Amino acid sequence: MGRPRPAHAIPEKMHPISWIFKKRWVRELLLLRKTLTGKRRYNKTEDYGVFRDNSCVISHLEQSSYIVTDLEETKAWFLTMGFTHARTCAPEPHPDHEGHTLTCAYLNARDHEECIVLMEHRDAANKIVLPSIEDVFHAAYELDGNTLKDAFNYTEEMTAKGVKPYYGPAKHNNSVPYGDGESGGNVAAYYYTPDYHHIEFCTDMDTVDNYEGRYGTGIRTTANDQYLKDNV
Amino acid sequence: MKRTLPVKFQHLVMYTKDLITSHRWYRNLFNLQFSAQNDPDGSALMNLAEQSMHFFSFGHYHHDIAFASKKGVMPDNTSLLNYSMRLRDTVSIDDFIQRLEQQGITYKKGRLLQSAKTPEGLQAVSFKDPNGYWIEILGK
Repeated sequence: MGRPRPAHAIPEKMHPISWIFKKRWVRELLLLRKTLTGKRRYNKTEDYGVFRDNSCVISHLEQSSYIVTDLEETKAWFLTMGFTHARTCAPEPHPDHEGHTLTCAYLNARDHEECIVLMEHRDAANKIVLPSIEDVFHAAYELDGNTLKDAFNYTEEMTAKGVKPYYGPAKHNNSVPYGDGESGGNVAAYYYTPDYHHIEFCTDMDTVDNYEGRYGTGIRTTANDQYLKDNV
Repeated sequence: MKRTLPVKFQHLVMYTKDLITSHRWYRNLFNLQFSAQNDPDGSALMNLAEQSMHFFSFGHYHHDIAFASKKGVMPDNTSLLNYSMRLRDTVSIDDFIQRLEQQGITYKKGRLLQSAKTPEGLQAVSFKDPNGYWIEILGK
């Protein structure tokens, strides 16, 4: 790893923890006090789903940047994970810090050109500025095939290369045997880059096409509206 | 043997300084669907992580962007400088700039980075969200 583990990153000895959360009784046990005190009912974890509505002005995500300590080391990590290198550019001015520079390496996913920008940030004295790792909780990349099996295959392939996930693969819902009780339905495996950026590889997320069939629309929409009325 | 490859950027979850401020700002500007909330009082994982999350959809996937609020973690823009999103074809960049102006959001035209490519036929506009993250919007 390129730098010391940030306080909020999961220690390596706890990385196999995801299997515990696939046991519903474990999840219930962890929440027992919240259940008994009524907090669980008040501060709900709720899945409202996604519904047919074209009012959102955004179509999709294009690109995100990660500031890294060592451009070459991180680039090599992403190449191992299946991305390809598009180009690396000459240092350019940092938009927020006068005299600072950014050197950018652009990476492709198979069907998504330059969806990642790795940035090496140097100050006016040309020293590397370390990322805090307190911005991105995680960024997720969909895997070829987009089925549960593909996520497990990918994890096996990466493990064979010596890269193990710190969490997962787990399915983010209550299904048995892979569900961990979270939201979205995606089958997700999470990895740390050399800087401890969290990168998810996922498949099979719930979409507008399967959500209505599973949950209907009326109840979920009402629940969503009630939360917004009460809190936002 | 065929190798399983990442095919596209699917979703982004950012730490936020204030979950409700980000929720309001993002939904107002982009008309996002609020698709889920995970609370430490109701989720075993969130309980262990002492973290709350709000998930938002662009209208197809369950979530495309989400925000996480965690005790002791404060975004400082040293790890994520920017991210970019594409407008739906039914919304022009001029329409979107009008939305920015109506909501009093300062912007600059063009990409944030000199090295970033803008696909042919598209224009870009860049601005900051309440957490200090630069957002680039690309559209016709």
